Amino acid sequence: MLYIPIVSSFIISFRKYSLLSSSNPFVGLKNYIKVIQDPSMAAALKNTFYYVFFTISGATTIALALALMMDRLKFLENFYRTIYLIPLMISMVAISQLWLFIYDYITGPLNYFLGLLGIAKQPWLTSTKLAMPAVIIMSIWTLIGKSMIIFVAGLKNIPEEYYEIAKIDGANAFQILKDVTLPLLKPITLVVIVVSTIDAFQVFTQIYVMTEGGPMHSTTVIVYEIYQKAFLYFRMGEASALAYILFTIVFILSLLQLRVLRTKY
Amino acid sequence: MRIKLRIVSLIRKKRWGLLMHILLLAGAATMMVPFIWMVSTAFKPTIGIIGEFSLIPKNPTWDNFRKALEVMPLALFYFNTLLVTLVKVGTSLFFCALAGFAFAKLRFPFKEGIFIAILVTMMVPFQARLVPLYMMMHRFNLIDTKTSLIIPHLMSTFGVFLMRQSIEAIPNELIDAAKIDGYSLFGIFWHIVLPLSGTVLATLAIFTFVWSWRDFLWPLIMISSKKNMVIELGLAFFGQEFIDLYGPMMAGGVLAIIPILVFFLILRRQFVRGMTLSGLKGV
Repeated sequence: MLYIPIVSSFIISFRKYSLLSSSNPFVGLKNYIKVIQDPSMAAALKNTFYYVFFTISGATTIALALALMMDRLKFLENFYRTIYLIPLMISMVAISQLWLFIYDYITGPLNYFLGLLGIAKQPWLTSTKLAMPAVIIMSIWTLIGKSMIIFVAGLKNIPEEYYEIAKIDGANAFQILKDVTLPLLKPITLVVIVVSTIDAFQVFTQIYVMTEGGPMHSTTVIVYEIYQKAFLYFRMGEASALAYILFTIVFILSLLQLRVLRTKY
Repeated sequence: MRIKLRIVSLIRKKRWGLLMHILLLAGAATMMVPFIWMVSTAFKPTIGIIGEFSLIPKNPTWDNFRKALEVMPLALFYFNTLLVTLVKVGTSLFFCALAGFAFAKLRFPFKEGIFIAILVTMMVPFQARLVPLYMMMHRFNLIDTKTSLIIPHLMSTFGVFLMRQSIEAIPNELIDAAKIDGYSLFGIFWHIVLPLSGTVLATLAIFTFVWSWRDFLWPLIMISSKKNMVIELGLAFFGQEFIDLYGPMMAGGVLAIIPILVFFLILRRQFVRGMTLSGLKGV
């Protein structure tokens, strides 16, 4: 009766961790203070919040809008779903390299198309002002699909009767959207937002490939700094402090997620 | 008058419908165009790339692919990635199902507590364990080995959670009947629980497969020698050789993408199901 759980527990213990908040010798809170003082780490904190806010709001809104339209029209639904999922399946490195090319100042197609519209070429990834927005746009492009399929699944779960009753009551399309569809989607929307936010805080690959922390730390993010500090500079203590901060953020968000799920039922 | 109103509202509906169709198609185009550019650029000769902005290359050539393959041992990368991923999927399925079975159907002291402890682990981001894990690997002399890629991911808490939820749904009568028939505990697991969990196992398999295939940070930290690299890592590493040489870079990317893309297109339905479930983690 007991040996199976023991086997499972043994394997599970691979996942237990011990977190070092300070290096040897014991230095107290010095590492945490360094996180705020060190320009690159402080920038990482700021940039990550900035990134998360815009990427999530952008991706979720667009995903929701697309899902609503797809639910309405039903036409080509599978095709759209597949298309939007592709960036989530394939190599993030390849996607980042692709966008590195797209954003290229001289040879990139984006600047070319802007030129056709009469807009000046922009130094996307080399400008401190534009680099982060460029990464955000690319991330939104990548992430739309993930939220979208969940919204589609949620929309499918709304029983037809609700719509019929609303129509009988004389509601037009906007009112149906506002008073029936959206309120019923609220729990799913919250879950989607929290889960995507947790993921977004851990962004790394596109930063590593496209900007390496960006011109003058303008695109460095938490995980990138952890990577740099721990494995390029071997400052394990500082990296761990930063990692612990990330853990705290994610932990709080996860608790939020649990709270949201509980109220759903 | 009434007929007029009817026609007007019909046209209005059609107009909105048309607008939505256009938006949806525009969205799909936005998703596809970058990939088209990628393939197109992969076939453009390096000399011509500057200044050539046509969608269809004027002088298509296989040169870039040749260059990319000269520099990147792609087959080796694929082999490594496949090996590591398949092992991870195999162990994941087995151990998560085992643990899920234990938590769903068996009784043992502190069951609830242990399960909650495991769930809590789900809330810890991988990066928080990065440094200690690295040190552990170092102590076991596993730096720069494929084994080090596998070990931290032998199973996943999400998998355990998923399996427990689904195994819970198996009627207890079946298990009791099996016990009466003389099956051992493991026998029950192997002959009854596993076959009944087909769908969930498939979903978990796909989820784990994609996750492992795309993993970048951990291989980046662990592996430094070419012979042990996985695709994501290899692509990034050698991509740096092609900075500003977008032709070969895109060619490499195309070669890296195609197999998984084909895989995805064939198993579309399972992927969608897997992604929906994983996105609804915990629902």
